[in-house]
Amino acid sequence: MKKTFDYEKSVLRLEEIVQLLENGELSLNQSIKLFEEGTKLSAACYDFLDKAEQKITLISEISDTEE
Amino acid sequence: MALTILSISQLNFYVKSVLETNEKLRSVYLKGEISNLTDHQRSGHIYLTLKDEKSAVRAVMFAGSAKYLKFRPENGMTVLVRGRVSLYEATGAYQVYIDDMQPDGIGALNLAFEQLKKKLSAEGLFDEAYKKPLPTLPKKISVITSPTGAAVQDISRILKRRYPIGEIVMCPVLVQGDDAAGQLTDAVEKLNRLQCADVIIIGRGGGSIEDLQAFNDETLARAIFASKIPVISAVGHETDFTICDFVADVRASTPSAGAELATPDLQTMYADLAYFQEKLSERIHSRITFERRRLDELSKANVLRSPLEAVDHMRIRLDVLSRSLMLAYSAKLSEEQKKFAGINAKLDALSPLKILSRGYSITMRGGEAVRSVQSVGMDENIDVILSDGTLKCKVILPVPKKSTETKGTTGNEKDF
Repeated sequence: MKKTFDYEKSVLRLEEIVQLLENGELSLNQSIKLFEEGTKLSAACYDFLDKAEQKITLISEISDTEE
Repeated sequence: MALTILSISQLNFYVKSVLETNEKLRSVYLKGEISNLTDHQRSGHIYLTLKDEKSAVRAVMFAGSAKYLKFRPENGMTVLVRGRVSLYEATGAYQVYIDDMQPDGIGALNLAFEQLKKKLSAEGLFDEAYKKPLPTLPKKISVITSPTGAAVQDISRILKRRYPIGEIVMCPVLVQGDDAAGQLTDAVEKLNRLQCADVIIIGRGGGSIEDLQAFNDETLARAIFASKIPVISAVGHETDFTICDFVADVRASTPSAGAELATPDLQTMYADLAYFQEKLSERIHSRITFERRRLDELSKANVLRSPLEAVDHMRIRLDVLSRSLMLAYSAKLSEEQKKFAGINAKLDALSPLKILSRGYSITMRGGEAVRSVQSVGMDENIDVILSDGTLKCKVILPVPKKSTETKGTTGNEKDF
């Protein structure tokens, strides 16, 4: 899960959900689904930030595997 | 005393050897203004004239020495040169063979910097239009710097505090010395080739212009310009400017500032998340409150409280309608009846039977009423219809009335 988690995409989606809910043009059912999705995303983002540990890679390690 | 006649070659050879053996001319320092400059791109030799207000001398700088020049000589430039004096035998011209040349007043490196800056600026390498925006949330931040310098420590410390979710891709390189510019250039090109960074911080700590020289390299400048990955130049201190700073997408005053520019602050990211989360609950709560209120309003409506009320309403309306219908119908009926009675009375008055009962009769012949005495002949059979039956008669004589007596006759008939 942590490897595939994309913080930037998640935050963008979260922002989008908030905007959709602000517009208020959705059905109640859709609103609740989005709210649930948003809550999950926000929790995942918090979790990602909380657990973040800086990873340091040397360029030589990258080039070794890719060249 | 016999005359010694010399060839031109002998003369030139002799003068040349005199010049070359003179201690003072073996190593001279001159200050002069450059003119008639020819810079041979192919050979790399530079030919020029050095002059002052009164005099001029030809000079040459061979490629072997010229390649070490940090700046490009230009006509009109005042320079300090070190060289030796000799003679070019082919023309007999004496000239200065230059070993080293420095711009007068300003240092060679400073001049080289100004020259390169002017050149690249003219080519448009510093144009704002080419500056790429930095990513807001970079996944990989590449740092091209010395692995042992203070810059790498500063950058790592700041990224760890501000942005631990990012991955640092370290490119250890030399940042000063002859190989530095090449290594810096390679690193920028390699990162682009491998596509393994979202943003590049290239830099080193402060130093003299000589120390920062690698960051004033033209090839490096072109590599940074060509980079698809946004580049932050973080060289030296606030007051140090390098070519790298001008060509990079963003200039940071120090490596620490570079790290800050490259990344958002973790605290800000937490704050953003908190804002989003708050907005989410706020929106869904207000939506649910709204729906609840709507539901309340709806359930208060009468139709839901007594569903038969509507039916009752309809029944009442139906009653009213049917009563109106009855009234309207009977009114119409009596009106028609009245009208009919009137017509009936008229009809009755006009009836021939009624007239017969008053003593009149109708004369018929062959089913048609006889209206004139002239329409029947003698002995013709006619029927005289009275109110209570028919008289079968035979005409004895039709007697037409005298036309003048018509009125009187009618009056006579009435009297019968």
